Amino acid sequence: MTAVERPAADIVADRSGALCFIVRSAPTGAALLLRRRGGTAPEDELRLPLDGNGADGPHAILRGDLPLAEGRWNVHLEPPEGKPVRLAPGLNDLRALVDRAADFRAGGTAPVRARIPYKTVESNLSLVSWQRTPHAEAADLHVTGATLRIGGLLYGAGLTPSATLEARRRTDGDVLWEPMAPVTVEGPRFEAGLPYGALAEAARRLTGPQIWDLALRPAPDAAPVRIARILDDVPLKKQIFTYPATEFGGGTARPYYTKSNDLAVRIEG
Amino acid sequence: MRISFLIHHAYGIGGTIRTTSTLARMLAEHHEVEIVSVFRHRDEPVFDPGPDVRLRALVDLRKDSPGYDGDDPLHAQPSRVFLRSDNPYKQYSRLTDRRIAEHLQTLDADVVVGTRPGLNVHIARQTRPGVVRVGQEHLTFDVHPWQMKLALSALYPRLHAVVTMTEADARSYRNRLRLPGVRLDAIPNGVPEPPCAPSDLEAKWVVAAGRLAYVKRYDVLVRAFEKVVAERPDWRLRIYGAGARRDRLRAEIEKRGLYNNVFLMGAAHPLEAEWPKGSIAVATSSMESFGMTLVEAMRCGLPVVSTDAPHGPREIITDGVDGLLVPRRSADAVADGLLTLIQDDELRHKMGRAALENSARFDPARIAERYDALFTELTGGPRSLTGRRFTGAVLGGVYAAKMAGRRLAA
Repeated sequence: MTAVERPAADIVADRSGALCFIVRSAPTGAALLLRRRGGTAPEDELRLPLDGNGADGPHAILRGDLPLAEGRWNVHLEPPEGKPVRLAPGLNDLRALVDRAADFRAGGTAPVRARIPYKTVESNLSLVSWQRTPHAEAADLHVTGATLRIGGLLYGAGLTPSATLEARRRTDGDVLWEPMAPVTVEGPRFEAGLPYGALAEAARRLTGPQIWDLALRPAPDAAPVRIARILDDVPLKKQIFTYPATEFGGGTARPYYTKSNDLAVRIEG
Repeated sequence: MRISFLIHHAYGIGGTIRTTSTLARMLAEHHEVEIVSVFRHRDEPVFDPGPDVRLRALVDLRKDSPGYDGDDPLHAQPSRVFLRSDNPYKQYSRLTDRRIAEHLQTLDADVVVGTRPGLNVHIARQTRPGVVRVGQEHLTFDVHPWQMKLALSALYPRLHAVVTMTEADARSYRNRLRLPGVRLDAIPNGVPEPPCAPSDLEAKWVVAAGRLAYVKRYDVLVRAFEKVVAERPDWRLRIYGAGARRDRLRAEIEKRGLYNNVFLMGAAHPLEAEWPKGSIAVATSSMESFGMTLVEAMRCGLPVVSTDAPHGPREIITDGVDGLLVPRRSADAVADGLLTLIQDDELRHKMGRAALENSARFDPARIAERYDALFTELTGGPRSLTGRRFTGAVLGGVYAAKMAGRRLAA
């Protein structure tokens, strides 16, 4: 019931992660145009023709298994003639995404793809997209004493008993992942306890606040897999999935989810 | 019939604005309807009442507008008519006194409807003869300051009708004020049928929504949910809304180790898409003039666990049928209510179905019928511009048919 009359899309998600865009005011022959923010390559643009037939009016479906690069995608309506216009968000019925982690079969090799539509601060419609193989999905986090217990599921790779939890200090040029803690493995499930002291130890030479990104190395010869939380309907976890700060050895540590919903720990000395 | 609403500001966001916009839109199906906003802060309303409703403002406060009124010297002098005890008093002035008076003395309408006590008092004092004067009460008489009660007792006898949100509030007016000849009716707010399907009641989520303010008692809810989690750690709670208590609630959630089960989601617009993500709605207010969110949740098919707060909840929920009413301020009682619906899938589904059916009585079409009947009676019989005569029942059918048509067209 807003007064601003510009085209809006209602979205309905299904359990496969597919998004159905319904643009009632779309003219015949119009298409949905998705553009990745900051992208210039041909694959940073995706056109989905709007099908005018159907009870709900013109609609287009973004399949859950369609490749879509990781990042933020702006959603436009492209009329048959004329320039594309940014779509306004309508009603996003994302109930099928709420507990999506349960729908994924861990152990397969298919990429984990997740897209969550959201309303930007300028009230435009965008999607945030992830596409990861393998993918480590975080479940509950528990802060006990000066230890952060992280549980989760690994998709798209095998977990070995010698898996490790690793951390990397996020500063320019610092690209080394350092092992921090052993991992308990049960099928595709992992659990690890990260002692904040280990991070402090690794960074004793440093002053000021530090951010540590966290990853799971499934096997000694495998590449580290970022731990993230993407299999639900919450596009930006940072302000919603928040965790207690812990004082330890002269500093404070707090786990948080980054702008792309990757797990990190912030330490302030 | 020509119906004119008088509202504080029609261009903002708020329960009264939204519900007035919805009601005006419905009434405009059969009548000539206008919304007159005392103030205008922005160009377009957030809640558009539609093309059939005339919307205008008396005092333009858009700084970039050629008609900007903010510099008028009269606007710097305090109002002598608007109620000092009504919250936005400081925004009113000699200028609003004059503009509202001019508007009401030259009103080209059969019925004028005020939407808050301060404006109802303007209507009582300044409306020209021959116009039916109706005052809406969107809050609750009992919690008004005594100064306001005194003023209302002196001025409301000049109204033709007072419309409250609840029967209980209408009783308060009846018992506490002497209003001879003033019609007292309770007509709740209308809540439209949501545009998406009802919840399947299978997700292990409880949903609450409302400002993060003390009166909503989310602290009680967090404590209650601690008890729920102790028995059912697989169930989680989402609280939608923004507000001053956010940090305090956050700290409470962390202190109790509930950060994997209780989430402060922030404000969500539209909220209609969020209810179906849950299977139970919960409200813990210590006071609730009406309780729009309870109706919204029920229209999405959720059974509601609510505190029995004065006055709204017990007039919305039928205890044990479409939800559970529990004593106020008791975390244990809220937890027990939630666990009853969590543990018993069959009961949850049964109450959810009842919630869906019973909440249809709040459909805007039905609410508009009740206003229509009231106005028709007060103006002395059915008399529309086109000369058609409707009985209440026929009219009701017409509203419902129009609503259905709108939905098909949408």
